[in-house]
Amino acid sequence: MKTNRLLEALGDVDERFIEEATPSKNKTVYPWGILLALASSICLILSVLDMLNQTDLPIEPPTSATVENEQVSLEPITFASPKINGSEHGVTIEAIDIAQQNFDETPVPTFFIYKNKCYVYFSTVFSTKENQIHLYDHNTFLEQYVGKSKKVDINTFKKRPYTELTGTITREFFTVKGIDSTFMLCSRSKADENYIDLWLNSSDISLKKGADLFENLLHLNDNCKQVTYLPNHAHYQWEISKINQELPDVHVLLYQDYAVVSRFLEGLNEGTFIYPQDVAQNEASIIEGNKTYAIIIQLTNDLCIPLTIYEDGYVRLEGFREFSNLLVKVDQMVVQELIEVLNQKDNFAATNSN
Amino acid sequence: MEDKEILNLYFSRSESAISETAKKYGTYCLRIANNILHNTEDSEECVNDTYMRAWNAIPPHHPMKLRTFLGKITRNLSLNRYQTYQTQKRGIGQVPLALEELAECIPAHETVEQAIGTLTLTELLNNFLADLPSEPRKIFMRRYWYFHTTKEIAKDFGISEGKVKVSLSRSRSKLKKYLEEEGVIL
Repeated sequence: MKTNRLLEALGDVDERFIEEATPSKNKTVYPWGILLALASSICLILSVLDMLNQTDLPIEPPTSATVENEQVSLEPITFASPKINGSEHGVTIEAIDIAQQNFDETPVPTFFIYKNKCYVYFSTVFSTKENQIHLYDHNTFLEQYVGKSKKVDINTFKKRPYTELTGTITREFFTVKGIDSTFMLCSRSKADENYIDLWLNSSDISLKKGADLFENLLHLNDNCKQVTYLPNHAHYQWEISKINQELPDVHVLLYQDYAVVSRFLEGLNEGTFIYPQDVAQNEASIIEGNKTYAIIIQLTNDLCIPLTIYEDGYVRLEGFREFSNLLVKVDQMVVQELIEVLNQKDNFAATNSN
Repeated sequence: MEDKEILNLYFSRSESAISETAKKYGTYCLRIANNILHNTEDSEECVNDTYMRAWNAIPPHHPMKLRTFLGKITRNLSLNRYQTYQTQKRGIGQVPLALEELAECIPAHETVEQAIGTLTLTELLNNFLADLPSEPRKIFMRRYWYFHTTKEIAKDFGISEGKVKVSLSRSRSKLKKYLEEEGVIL
């Protein structure tokens, strides 16, 4: 036991000692290895010099980006994340300053401005398509036609960014049923009508209580249709399973458990948004032995809200851009009550689809 | 991919954070787990759990060194799993040998004034390691942090196995003396 303690304490020693002893860093380098490396470096230098002599290599990068490609890029948006500020009064995600963005890179971010809010692409959901995990129906998802965005050249945009419904794409936008339009809008995918692109405004927003997001923008308590628990999974594993079409068992909460869910959602509304750096002070408690529970709250419009619940009362909204960087500190009793339900496997009807 | 880019993927909650982590540090983590558990299946599970822990911890945590951050998690998880091996009387691999060797560092009871917590013990170990010359320190860490065999260490450092054993023995004696001077009870 005593040596175990020594071993345990050794595990937390200064990272520089761990890094210094990293196996790959301490291989003996034999002289022939150095000679080979030197020889290949010389060859590389000679070939580069040769290329420079023979060809006119472009030196300057392209000076301006164009918006030729109408496809929504599934690559991460090249926007720099807006700054997040936190204090005991809550969290503020600063506005994205379009004028300050560097658009000399490709792909050009796909975004639009609606009522002075910047919406960026964050996800695509499927509608009325077979063999998908979540089916969305246009009739239950789309609510009100907002208008068609006007596509403008990026440089024009930088000069006069905040015009009504203008962006780097041309789309017909709709509000999402049950979701506040200052938070999310959607458009039918240009490539395939069976897909709906979701656009999120995750900047220029202040969040104090959980209700500021979960009640006022997502209306979670009013719209909750079904809660699914993914035992022994984190949300990213679930996403990977979906891609691989290897769906693990999930558990759908039964009707009688929804009183607990309702209390949890009320607790979530009462919870306080935490600035990530504040929580980092307690990082040890989050990393070590803090079990997590992944649940999906499916709304009446079929939109899925993935939440990760930490045993010590933190809750994270997964996959919603900047919001996923934040945690909500919820009353631990409320969280424990839900966790108890999740731990009682008998309470669930197991299913591998929803 | 650079660590900074991988961390950005974690911060943007992109699932590719995991595949990029696995691509860059999967082998590193697997080797740590396997040195402790000597069981491929269990080691792979520990490494997968490491990714899950990292996913849940970042953000808010922002590791300075992603490699050692992951390594620490893998080592802890693997040692925890090793404990279950022990209860099942399945003592294997380098851990029992390392534990046996480290027993030499336990200070004698009569010199002890008070028990100390793990955090303080870690601080003392940091001081001890900082005072060790570079090569013996690396050898010590390779043996008791990474659980490499003396043969592997000898091969990697280009020295004889005997020299590795002597270096470890000297370091253990120094550690014992240091802990006794600090009045440590374990």
